[in-house]
Amino acid sequence: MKGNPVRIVGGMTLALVAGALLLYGAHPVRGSDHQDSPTTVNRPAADITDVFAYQAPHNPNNVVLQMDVWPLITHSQLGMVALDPAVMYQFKIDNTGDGVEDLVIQLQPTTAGTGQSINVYGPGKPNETGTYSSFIPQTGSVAFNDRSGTPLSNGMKVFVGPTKDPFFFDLLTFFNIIPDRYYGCHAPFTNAFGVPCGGATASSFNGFTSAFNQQHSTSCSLTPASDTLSSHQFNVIAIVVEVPKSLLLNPAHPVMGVWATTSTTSGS
Amino acid sequence: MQRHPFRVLLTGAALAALAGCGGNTVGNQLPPNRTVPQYQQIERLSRPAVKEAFEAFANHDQTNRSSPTNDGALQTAIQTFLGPPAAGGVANRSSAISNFIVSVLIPDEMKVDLSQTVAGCGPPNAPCAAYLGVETGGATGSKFGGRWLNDDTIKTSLGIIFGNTVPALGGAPDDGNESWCLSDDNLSNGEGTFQSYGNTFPYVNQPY
Repeated sequence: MKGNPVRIVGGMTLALVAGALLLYGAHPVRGSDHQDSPTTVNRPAADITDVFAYQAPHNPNNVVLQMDVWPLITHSQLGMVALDPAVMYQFKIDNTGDGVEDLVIQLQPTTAGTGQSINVYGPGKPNETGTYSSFIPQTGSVAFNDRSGTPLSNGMKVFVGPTKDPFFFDLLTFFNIIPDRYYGCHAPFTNAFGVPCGGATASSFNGFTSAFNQQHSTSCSLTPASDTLSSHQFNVIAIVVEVPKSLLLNPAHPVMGVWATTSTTSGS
Repeated sequence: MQRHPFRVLLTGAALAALAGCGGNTVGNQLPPNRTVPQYQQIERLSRPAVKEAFEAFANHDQTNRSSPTNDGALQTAIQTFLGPPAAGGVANRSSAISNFIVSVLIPDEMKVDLSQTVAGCGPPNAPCAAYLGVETGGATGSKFGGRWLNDDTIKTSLGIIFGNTVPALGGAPDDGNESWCLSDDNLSNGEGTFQSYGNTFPYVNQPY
């Protein structure tokens, strides 16, 4: 398996970067949103892999927003990867139904490395809407990989640290069905995972049963399905924010829309 | 698959979504005379696998740098992908099914109904959200919506794109164009490695 010419910025030491680059480039697969553009491939700490939103299991009055970043972290990388201090991490919340953010929660680490502290801002009204952002007043800060959940002044709990990647998908079969979704099929990246970059080489996902084929008069693949991410034991960095619903709820429009963004001052 | 009586709810959601994506061109303009650092968006994500399924890799950067109300490239990609092969499509779905899917997915926001409580959430490993629950009136598990850590979002998405989920939910008439071999990646039938999740903060597991 060949590595890719990946460039990372963010103030890590040269040795740390070299190790991370080798490992990151050695696993060129994409999942829910893993490695989905040249910009994010080059800046993996800004690469959002998944967004979750769920009721807090221990408290129905709280909602948990989660974004995962930095795909495909292996166990041996764990002491080397953290958030990028050049990046603004942001949850955007539309609680009026017009598709525009009414509230934001922002985070940014103060330094590079796993000893970093992460400043937390909001939730509050954004200074700007759209694709440009600036920080709103700070709420507090947390240490990287602190699982204590000590509430901030507004009742929020924040965790930033490594976790098993929750996402699962038979990626390799997907790439064989639709090869142009695979980033290794696009210059300047190399096809390091052996995925054919011409036409489709598969027309079926795996894991179907004879009963299914009989029911639908099909001949779908009976080969067992497999999940690339869990079978390779990949990790991500999770940003978990538990928020009292009252801080986000618009009683006149209780359905909120959530998305996550990463931003830099350079735009790269 | 059973039929669900959610046509009215779905139609309402579709109309609301369509209204939301019309005419609003949220500013990407740099505010004048700002003295604080301005950050430019380089990545955006909400619903899982929407970009991955519908949009070629080469177009992701444009979508990543856009707002939910201003992502015409993604909308066009969804419509094209769902259309007939002669028009560059893959899924070959009817216009009614395609229009319904577009109306649900654009603007790309994960919907959460904060007025709802997820029944059964609390014990370890119990679901505390239901992907597309708001858009389907609770057909996917609860009206809270959102996305739980173990939600099989790929199964749901493939069923919508290639299977008969939309007709079964009453979103559009069945077009008979299901691609059954693409309708599930079958990781929820015992082949996948589902994680167990606890009920204490931060809920996510220790890394491998």
